Amino acid sequence: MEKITQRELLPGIHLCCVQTERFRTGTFSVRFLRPLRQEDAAKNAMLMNVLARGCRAWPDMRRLQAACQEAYGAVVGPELRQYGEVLAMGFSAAFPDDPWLPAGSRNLERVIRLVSDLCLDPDTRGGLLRNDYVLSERQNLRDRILAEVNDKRTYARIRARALMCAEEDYGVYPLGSPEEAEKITHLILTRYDQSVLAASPVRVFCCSSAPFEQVRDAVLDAFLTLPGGGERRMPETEIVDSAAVLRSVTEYTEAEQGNLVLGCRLGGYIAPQEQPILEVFNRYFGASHTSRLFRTVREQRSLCYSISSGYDRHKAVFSVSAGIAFDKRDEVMEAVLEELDRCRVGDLDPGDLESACRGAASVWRMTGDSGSALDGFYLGQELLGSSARPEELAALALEVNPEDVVRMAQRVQPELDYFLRGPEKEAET
Amino acid sequence: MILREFAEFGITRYTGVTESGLTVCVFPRSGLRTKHALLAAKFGGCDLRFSYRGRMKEIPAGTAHYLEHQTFGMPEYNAAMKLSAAGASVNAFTSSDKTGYHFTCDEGFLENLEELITFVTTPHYTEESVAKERGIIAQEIRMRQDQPGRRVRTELLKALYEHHPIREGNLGTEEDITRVTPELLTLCHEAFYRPDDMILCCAGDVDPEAVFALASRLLPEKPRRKMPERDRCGEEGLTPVRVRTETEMSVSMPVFLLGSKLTFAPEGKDWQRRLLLADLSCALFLGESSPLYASLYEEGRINRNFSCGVTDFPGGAVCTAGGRCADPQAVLGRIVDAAESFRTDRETAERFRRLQKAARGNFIMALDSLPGLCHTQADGHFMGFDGMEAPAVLDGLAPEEAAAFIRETFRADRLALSVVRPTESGKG
Repeated sequence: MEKITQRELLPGIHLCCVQTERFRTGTFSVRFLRPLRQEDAAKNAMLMNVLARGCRAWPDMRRLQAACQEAYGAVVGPELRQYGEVLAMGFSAAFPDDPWLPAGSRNLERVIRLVSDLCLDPDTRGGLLRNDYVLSERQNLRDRILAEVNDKRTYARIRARALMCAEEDYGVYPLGSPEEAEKITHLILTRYDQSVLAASPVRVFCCSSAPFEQVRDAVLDAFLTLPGGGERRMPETEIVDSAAVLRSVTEYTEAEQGNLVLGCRLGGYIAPQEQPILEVFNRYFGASHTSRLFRTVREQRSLCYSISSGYDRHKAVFSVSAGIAFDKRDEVMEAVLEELDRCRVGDLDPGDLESACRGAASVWRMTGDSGSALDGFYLGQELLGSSARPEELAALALEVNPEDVVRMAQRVQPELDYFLRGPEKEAET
Repeated sequence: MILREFAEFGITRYTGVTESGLTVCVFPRSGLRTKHALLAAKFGGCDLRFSYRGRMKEIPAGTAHYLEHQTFGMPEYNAAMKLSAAGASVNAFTSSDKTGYHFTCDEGFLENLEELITFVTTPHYTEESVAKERGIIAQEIRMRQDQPGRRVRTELLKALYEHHPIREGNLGTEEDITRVTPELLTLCHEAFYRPDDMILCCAGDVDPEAVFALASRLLPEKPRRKMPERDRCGEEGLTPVRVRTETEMSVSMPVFLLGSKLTFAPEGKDWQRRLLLADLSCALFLGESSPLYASLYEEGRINRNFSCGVTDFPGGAVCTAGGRCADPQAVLGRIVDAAESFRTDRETAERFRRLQKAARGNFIMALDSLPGLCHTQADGHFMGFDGMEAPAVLDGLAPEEAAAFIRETFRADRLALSVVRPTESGKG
């Protein structure tokens, strides 16, 4: 069994340590929590990529990669995750754990040091981040932003979110805009880096065979130079309680297939104890082979290859996505809303509901079999104000009853019907 | 069953062959809740011509994939839904050489395994079900057509090969799939979904003997008919059919993939060695720790999206490199120039040693993935090698071999370049 220890090492700096012998792969991450805001989006997206270019100890990508290879192929990279309107930016690492390496390898300590070097000890010029690295990553960021259109399904989801939450920070594109990226200089980014280090809550996660004390000591030693003294205020997510009137938007691109997104609100904050209900409802409605949407829209009516629902519990939003023929939009949307109505009035299939409960429980129980899944799980729970463990949520999922699911379905308020489709001249509603 | 310990990696493997000829392989892993099973048949997108029951058959591209979709349908129910109802996460895939059906669960493993073996080996294809599936598969084909990464790869393979069925893609076209009938699916099921040409791999806290007993009970007999003989159009030369191919799509900047065919070796250990050498050579020449990658990145010609690697399929393999970039032709030129002058010096030899060390570490980490264990085992089984022996093979590779491989593979006359360009309206 694993041993989980969560401690505040220093003000605003928390360590979650999972000690287990079950894995050959160790997982380590350091994340700085930032609010998702338009003015900082491009800087957030660029900063870790600039830091990943090199540090004083490993000043360029070649030497940095050499260090990773010497750490038995450790995979260390920048990461930007989103939980509602909170960005978790930093570095994550996967590495072969010490029991599987020659005695005395101390790979854990080596990886922790490498990550701290990247975060805290960049290769600077006159105290500023290197201008050549900033210019190069600025161009890369601009390319990445523009390239989002390449993946039509993801692009449709991004557009739907931006349109539905246009007045909220949630509508901000996490990579920012090309124009904002263009304004970032090495001076601006250096100042921003300093403010991130000094004022962001820091979350450190480690899953390995090492006991808490060993991890704690290595982290404290490696992150000794992290600026202290200031307040590290937790960013928050604004929840919109009720949806606006449902509106329909169509956008055009060069595509063979249309991508439909139905964006919905969940009518207010999702309490920690409601997580299993939301997960079960989601699986019942659109996120499994036994879901209503899969059964009806795909299997019975052959309207699509892919259709699924999903949610962001931190923002209390819910969505349905489907890849469909251009002329099937109305038919699919009607079918989706029809299925939602059936859930709202309690027209539920008991067998499928039981399947949804079992599926949800199973996924949570299996979370403990992956270090990286545990990493995401514990940070997500903390940001939701929950101290639940995977097995506790699994047990609660099995207790979800039809009334719970009906209540959750009734909370789903469609707000945006978005369709990204190939070119056709005639106008659409 | 035969037990083999890989003590260095803490892995135990049981293998055996049932009376029906089915190969069964189990990796017991205590302490994990997750359990995984994969049942794979040696029938993939490249199997378009074969001799069976004394006659040569030619089937439409995409047939293996169509069969995969239809196989979940049982006379009275849908097996994917049944497994999902039991709390399992179930799926399937069709690659160039095989079709795999798999599930992950934490409870009811043997019951789920029984369902897996039962539905995969029960052919039930009707006019109605085949017609209904056609629309779903057509949407899947269109979804892939909108993915520039897939388009650029498909076009590259067409530029490299003249006849090889890899050109056709695993899904076929919308026109191809109109020719798939229930009779064709039944025939292919009979010819290829036969226990003596399949493998069952399981991993997790499972009892190997129980798995073997279940497989033996459900599939008691060896098929009487002779196995089909596959015709994959023979070996092709190493030069590409076309050196450049271009497509237009709604992308922000050109997406490119360059590639070179590898010299073919018969399936088996030699093929495994060749693939591992190709992988390591790619990393040495174009990986993030290489001088070429660093200079291309620093010049802004490539970004983190750039990658290189090896893809193998029945009767061949290609070495590829690509990503997004404004001037793919310039990148190609730099690669050709660097390959020509690539020599083994002290620095290269040291980098090669580090890459071997990293590859060993990556192998160790990959052992944590139960699906990964099963899929690697199935890959090796059909290609005639043992994936668990990769570390030993890697240790036996030398930097001089890699240098020779790089000079030969990335020669100008061996390379084809595939580019997806932005349409006028799609430019960012």
